[in-house]
This record gives sequence, C-alpha cells and structure tokens, in this order.
Amino acid sequence: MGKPLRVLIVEDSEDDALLVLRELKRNGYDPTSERVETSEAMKTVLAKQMWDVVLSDYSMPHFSAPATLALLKETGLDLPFIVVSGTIGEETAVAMMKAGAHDYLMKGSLKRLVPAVERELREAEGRRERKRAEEALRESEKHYRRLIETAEEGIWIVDSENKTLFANRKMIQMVGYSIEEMKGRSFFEFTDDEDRTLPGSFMQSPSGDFKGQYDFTFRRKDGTDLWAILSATPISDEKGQYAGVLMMITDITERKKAEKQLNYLLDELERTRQQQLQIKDRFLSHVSHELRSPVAVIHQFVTLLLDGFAYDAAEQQHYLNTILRNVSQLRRMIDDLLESTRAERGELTMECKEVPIEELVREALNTFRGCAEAKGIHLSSALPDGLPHVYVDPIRVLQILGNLIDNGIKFTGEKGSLTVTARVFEQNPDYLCITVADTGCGIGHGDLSKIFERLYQAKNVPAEGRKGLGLGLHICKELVSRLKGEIWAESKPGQGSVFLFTLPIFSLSKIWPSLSSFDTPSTDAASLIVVEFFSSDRRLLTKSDEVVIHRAKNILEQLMIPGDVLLPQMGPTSHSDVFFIMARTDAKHADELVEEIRNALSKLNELENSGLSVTVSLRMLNVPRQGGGLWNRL
Amino acid sequence: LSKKVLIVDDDKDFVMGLNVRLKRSGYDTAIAVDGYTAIRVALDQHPDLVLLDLGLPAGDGFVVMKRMREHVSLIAVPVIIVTARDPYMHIDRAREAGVASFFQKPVDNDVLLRAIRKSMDRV
Repeated sequence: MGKPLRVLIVEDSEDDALLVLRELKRNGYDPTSERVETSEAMKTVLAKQMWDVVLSDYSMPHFSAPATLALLKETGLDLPFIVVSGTIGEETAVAMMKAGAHDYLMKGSLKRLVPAVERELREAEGRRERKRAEEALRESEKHYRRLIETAEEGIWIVDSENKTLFANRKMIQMVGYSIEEMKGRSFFEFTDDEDRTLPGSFMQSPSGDFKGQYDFTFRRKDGTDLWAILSATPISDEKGQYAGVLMMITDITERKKAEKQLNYLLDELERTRQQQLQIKDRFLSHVSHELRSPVAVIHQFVTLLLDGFAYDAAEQQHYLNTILRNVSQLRRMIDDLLESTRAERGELTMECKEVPIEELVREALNTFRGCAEAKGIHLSSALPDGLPHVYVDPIRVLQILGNLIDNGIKFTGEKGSLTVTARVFEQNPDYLCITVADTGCGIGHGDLSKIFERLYQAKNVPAEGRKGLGLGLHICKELVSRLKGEIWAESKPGQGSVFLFTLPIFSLSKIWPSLSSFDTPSTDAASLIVVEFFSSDRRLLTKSDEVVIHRAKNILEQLMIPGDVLLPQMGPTSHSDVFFIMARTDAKHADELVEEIRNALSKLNELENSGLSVTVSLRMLNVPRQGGGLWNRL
Repeated sequence: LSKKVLIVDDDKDFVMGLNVRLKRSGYDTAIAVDGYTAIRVALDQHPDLVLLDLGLPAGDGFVVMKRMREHVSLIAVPVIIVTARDPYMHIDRAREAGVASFFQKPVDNDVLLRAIRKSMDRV
C-alpha cells in the first residue's frame, strides 16, 4: 500500500494529469485526486474536502496558475502549491514564486515532482505547527491578561531598580494613580512607610531571600493610607540575573479599619466592665459597712444581756428595745437593697389606678406620726379642696412619701415640723405637685444635685441621718420616674429642705388603652357613654361650678336606666376639674341615650354661664363579664 | 484608781452599749460623738486610751488622730480603731498613724477588752 496523498490537479489535459499521478504512484504514493479546469470547479472541490497539495498547469483555456493561486489564497488555506507546466519562461516562473507558489516543474521532467511534493508537505506541516503554537501562545496570553486585569488583587511589577514596569487595573484603582503616572517611578515613591517593612528596601537583596508576605502601607494619590498585605516574588531574566519583583497586593484597609474599630470597642467594653466592677466593689463595700453598724449594736446589747449586765427589768427592756430598733433598721436596709436592685433591673412593678392623693398623704403621715412625736416633730398637711385625682400605683406613692417623710424626720431636730402639700403643678396642669417640707438641717448646695444618686450620703449630717444605705432617695427617683413624674429638692443649709415630686392627674384618656384592650369580639358587648366636663381654663372647680355639676348629675341620673349607671367621679368629696360619667348600656340604645344626654345638658344654661363645656362620647366595648375590676366599674 | 477610756463613735446605740460594758468591766469612760468634740473631751478628761470610729462627722478618725498628736498631753495615748469600715482599705493608713489595734464591727468583747488592757500596760 502506498502512502495516501490527496492531490488537487488543476489541468485541462487528462493525459497530463494521469502522467503526474503515475509519477506519484511510482514513488510509493497512493494518490486520490480530482482534476479541475475552471475556477468554479476548483471552488467546489476545495470546499468539499481537505487537500494535501495543489498541482497546477500554468495556462489553460478557462483558467491559469496565477488565478488558481489567487483563489487558493482567498480561501485562506495554506496548501503546497506547485506549478507543473510545459510552456513557461523563467521570468513567469519567478513571478509565480514571488506570488506565493512553492515550486515550479516542467512537464517534461517530472523526476523533481516527488521530492518537491515531499519537501513542500514537510514545510506546510511546519508552517501549520508554528501557526498552532502561535495561536496557543496568543490564547494563553489573552487568558493571563484577563486573569491579571480582573484579579481582585493588585499586581505590581518593578525592575531591578524598583521602577514600575506594570500595575494591573486593580492596583491602579487601589492607589488612585494612572498607569502613566506610575510607570518608571520607584515603587517607594508610593509609600511613606518609614519603617521600610520590606527587608533592606527589598531590591537590595537580589538573592531573593525577601520572598514572602509583608504588611505594608501605601500612600494613595488622595493622601489617604492604603493598608495592604504584599507578597513579593523575585523575577530573574533568562541568564538567571535578578530582574525585578512581582508583587501581589491585597487591600486590607477596610479590615484594618474594622480591626481598629473593634479594638476600640473592645477597649471601651473593658473600660466599662472595669467601671462596673469598681461600682460593684464600692457598692458591696458600702453595703457591708452600713449593715455592720446595726449588727454591731445588736451584738453589743445581746452580749450585755447574756453576760447579765442588765441589772433590772427596766434596763433589760431598754436593751431589748435598742436591739429591736436596730433589727428594724437592718430590715429596712435589706428592703431598700432589694428594691434598688429591682429598680436597677427595671423590675419595679406598677399597678396604676385613679386615686385621690389626699388619702395617700393621710395614710403616709399616720404611719410616721408616732415616730415624729417621739422626736417632738410636728407633722401636718396642707391640701386644697377639690384636688384632681392622680393616676398612680398607690403602694408606690406611699413608698415615696414614706421615704421622704422618714428622711425629713431624720434630718429635723426637736420642735421642728414637717409639712406635706399638694397642688396642681403650675408648669404642667396635667400633673399634681406634691411637696414634703421640713425645718431640718437643710442640704448643702454641693449635695443637692447628688442626693438622688445611688449610695449617696451627705457628709456632715447628724449621725441618725446616715443610718441607711443611701438608697432611699435613689429609689424615690426611680419610682417617681416610673410613674412618669419628676422629683427634685430645694434647700439651703440650716433652713430646712423641700422635696417636690409630680404625679400625673387622672383623666379618662389615661385608661382608654386599658378599656379598649377588651376589643376581642364577645357577646358581652356594651357601650360606654362618657360625659366629660371641662372648665375652659382647666382651673379647679369653684363652688358655683359644683352646683352646676350637681344639677347635671341629677339630669344624667334621671336619663340612665337604673343599674346601668356608674358615676365614679361624682362623690361629694372628690371634686375634679374633669368630671365624667360612664354608663353601660346595650348597643341598641346607646345612640339614643347619647342624643338624649346631649339634649338634656344643652338645656342647662348654667353650664355655659359658669365656663364649663361638656362632651358626650360613645365607645363600643366588649367587656368580659368575668373580667373582674373593669366590669365591676362599669 | 480606774483607767479611763474615751469612746468616740457617732452611733449612739453603739456608744451606749460599749459604755455599759466598759463600766461594768471596771473602767471609767468618757464619750464623744464627733471628731471635734473628741479632742475637746480628750483634753479635758485625760483618757488612758481612745476607742475611735473612723467615719465621724466634724473630722473623721484620721483627723482626730492627727490632732491628738498636736497636743503633748495626748501624744502617748494609745488609740484602738473600732469601725464598720473595711480594714483592708484603711489598716495601712491606721498603722502609719500609730494605732495600737484595728477592729471591724462587730467585735468580740473579750478580744476588745484584752486589747485595751494590753495597750494600757504597754504605756
């Protein structure tokens, strides 16, 4: 079997073509061939299959070697092209070779055909090989360039003198310079890294021992710092000589900033923690100190009794009373401690309701009456008639009043007095202002701002005044603020002290939220009719107003179905500048009733004459019968 | 002749109890409830020993000791501290001030009486 060879013969003579084929077969080839003699035919066969070689006659009736060559080039195929002709001069041959033909043979001496074909096949193969290699190179370069330009790391290449040869897009972006501004400039112009973190300004050690990672700071064009991790690799030329450095640079500025921020926060946290510990230490030390005093007294008198040092019953009684007093004091301290801890945790519970302040003041004063009398201190209250009710947790208010009265008694000497007053707060008529004034030693200006602080105890006060943990006023402040009021003190040393606190006045709007929280559908639906009287200037009611209100009340009572009426604010003693009446009725009749009330009250000219206005409003409520308090109120 | 002990403490109950115990243990006593009075009483009564609280109105225990050293007649009078305060925070300063003993309340009566006796013997 001969070597296969695909031969495209451009020839008008069948015989000449056969001669050529015979010559190839004789030299060990097994050619497959096509013979064409026109441009169209050649195009067709070129498109049909791959060829190894083109052998072309020079001149043909419808075609020629130059045209064949031109056509071949047009197709872009790199095939060996050999002219086989009988009638061609040397000049023409040279012109053909210049145009790109690979060889030229005379039909008369085909001996050179096979060597020429073989040589050209080899060369064409070589050319193809080179082309493939070039393409591969181009492809790989493209690949690397893409890699470099899209890298999320900066890449910077410098020569052996540290001068910039290349910086990728990311690097340019990172430092803010253009590549033109960077090229040729020393790498070290882009940093003011005085420490020269890079060893021996790293190009001076061409041995390559600087290969590695460094923390490095660049200076951006806008003057800001660029924190980076830089990994450097030395580059050598073909002779193995040091030629520069390739650096991969990762921007860690954000990370550094975050680290700084984190460190700052950690420091802050530690400082706060230390402060907290100190506060806790001081608190514990203080508490243990204060608790020891009554314990020491109890210890004293118990041992006196045990050792038989009390000679008679009266003395025994006296010792036991002293013990009891100190036990009570200990108990109060422990209560305060727990209360203050609850306050710190925001765990003070509040159950607000509408209460007359008079009752609370009376109760608080009664609690301390005995204690005050023992010291010869006169307790009194000055409460104007007709004070509006407050909306507070009565137990908490008693606690506040108790603390303030107790304090007042402690700091007031014999024959002194302590007075509790209440009035509508001038600066905010939605509040009552309650005052507890004593004729005691007063509070120094420096102490005045601190007395509500936790654990604060004024210095240079009577010993009795220091019997406590220093928590009382702090607890008062917490309680008052939970009741949405404010507390403060006014005093001059030697002239007594006044403690003032505000409490919110009760109005219907205060309980609307709790009323409307029963909005779940229920068969127990009821309508609430509210009648509110306002004095136009929110002043306290005068006696003449009272008469008018009383008449209005009678009208209302006549209109309501008996048993459905609740007149919580109409008692003879609890006058308020805002009166209201709530009536429970079924939904069907509610609208009619509202209209009736409006009509009836509009006839009451005295209302307008006395400066009162009245509003009648209707609310639908779903009131569970088992709901307890609220149902009972309605 | 009985030895005299000056008790300086602003807790009247404590002073009263200690006073009874010292008297029944054979001592004469004098009492002061603040720092200022302490010096006056000491100069007036010539105590053989002072039981001194640290937290006092009108000059705390350290002030009292300093002022005692300013009076020739009081320089040699031994001082025993009896206080509710934390000894760790005050004992160094108290030692520098030359106190004979330091007790934190409540103090065991026998221990206190022994310390009183010892301090006076030393003088």
